[in-house]
Amino acid sequence: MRPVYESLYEKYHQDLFNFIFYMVKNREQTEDLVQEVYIKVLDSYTQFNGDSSEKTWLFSIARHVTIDFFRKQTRKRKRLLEFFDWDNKGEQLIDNQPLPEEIAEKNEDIQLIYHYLEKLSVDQKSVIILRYIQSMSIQETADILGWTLSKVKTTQHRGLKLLQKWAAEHREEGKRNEAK
Amino acid sequence: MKQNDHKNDTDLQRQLGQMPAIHDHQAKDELYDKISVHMKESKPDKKKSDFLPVFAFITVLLLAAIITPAMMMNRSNDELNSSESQNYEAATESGISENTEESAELFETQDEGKVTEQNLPVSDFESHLVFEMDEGANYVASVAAGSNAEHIIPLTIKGTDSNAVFRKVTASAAKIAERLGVSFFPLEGAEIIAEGETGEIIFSKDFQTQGSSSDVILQRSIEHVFRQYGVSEVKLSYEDGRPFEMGNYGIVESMKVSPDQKVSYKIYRSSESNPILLAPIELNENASIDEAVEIMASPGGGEYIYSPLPDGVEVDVNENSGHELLIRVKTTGQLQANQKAMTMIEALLATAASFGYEQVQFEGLPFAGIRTYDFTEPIATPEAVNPISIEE
Repeated sequence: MRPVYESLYEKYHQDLFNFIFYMVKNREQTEDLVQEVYIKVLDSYTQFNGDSSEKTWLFSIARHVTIDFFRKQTRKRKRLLEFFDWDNKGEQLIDNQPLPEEIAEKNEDIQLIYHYLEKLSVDQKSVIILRYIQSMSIQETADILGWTLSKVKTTQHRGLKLLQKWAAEHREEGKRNEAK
Repeated sequence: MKQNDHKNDTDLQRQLGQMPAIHDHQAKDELYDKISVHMKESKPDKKKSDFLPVFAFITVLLLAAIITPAMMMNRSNDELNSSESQNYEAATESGISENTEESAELFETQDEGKVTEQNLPVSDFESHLVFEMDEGANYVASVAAGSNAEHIIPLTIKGTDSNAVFRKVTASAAKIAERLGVSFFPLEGAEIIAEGETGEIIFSKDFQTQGSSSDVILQRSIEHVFRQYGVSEVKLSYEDGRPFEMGNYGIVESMKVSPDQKVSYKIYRSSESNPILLAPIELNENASIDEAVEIMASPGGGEYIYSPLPDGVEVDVNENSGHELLIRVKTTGQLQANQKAMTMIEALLATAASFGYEQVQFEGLPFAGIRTYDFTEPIATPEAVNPISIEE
């Protein structure tokens, strides 16, 4: 088992950690989820039949683990909301994490995009991260997500449009504040 | 506008590419130790799993015993219907456009609750949706008026020319108005310009509206076309520079376009020889998605307007998240993976899109997919409806 782990770690660990981090935006949760991904991968490595590439297989497991995490979070949040009757304020619980140092060092535009990623749907976020932050091809992204190329393109297009819209709104707001 | 979009796209993609790599602080060996501990804890009990293959084998035998007779019965029904489906295929081949034409049989049997096209190869099913306006094809958003100018019928015209312009493609589409079963193209002869959030529509100097219903249709047509281009304010004028006079509304120099318009999509078809088109029934801004679906299910709604839900089908809607709608389909009859079911699915997707949902998860459908739609996963909502191909 160790040699398989070593090989996967050397080849994909940085990308894997990055992908999950940008999805969940929390270092501790990312560490837990990365662990979970390796456990699942090593557990089923003998069943990997090479139909897809090793990378595609690893990332599709990572995506499923992340989605499971979001589902559990949603259920927890729903229970909290029902208990406290906070109406929709639960959404505000999502993005209250401190900026990681790597992002805090970057300019305002990068920091804004980092925040806007949180507002995208899980599917849009997955595509934008895989395509632009991880620089994967449309085909690789489609293989990981188990989608058609057309669905990847549509989701990517909509995700980019939303990011642009929010950036434009932010610029407008800045102009209005300056005018005051 | 497209150039600006392209620049913004490029800038955004460049910035996304500059997002920094986030590094894991734990060491490789430390991580391995944690994983090994968990793997030892989660090793399954081998003895328990010995029963699984036996249990699975018995289950397969039982299922085979139940399913085989049912499949044989379905097959004989399919054979009975095969001659009717051949008629359907013949009808689609003679159509004006591969994207809009459906068979007369489909229309005739709508009220009878029969299914005639179930044997069609899945690739022959016609889609009424466009998922990407900006990529892969030269689409132009246009609008026709339904019979008696009661409704607008949005059309997404696929031009053959990469520089396809609104005036030219609308003029070409207007030539086949009769075959489409629409009465006229309210914006025919006008030129539109969309730059960012502002737009301009320039009418020919002899353009005239025809009565109060035409004024409403004209207004809705302008709103629809510019909404497709993301425009929020439109200036109206004649080509000789005069301010635009919109019938009973008087002089209208500019018009605000709301970015969203909630609608219920129903079927519009003016005769058996015309293709099925999706027609938006406008709702007020406070309408809920439940109300929209109720309107879809109700019969009528205007001349040649029909419910896209086949007889015996009911749908319930629930929001999965702000982006995703869950639609549960209940059937009292036999809903099959045919053109009628696909038109219903597409009308629901288009309605959901008008409420801002980006995807829809369907539940309760007695089939896993139609054409390219895979119902085991959420389906993206469309950007536009009624694609038609024309020779410019």
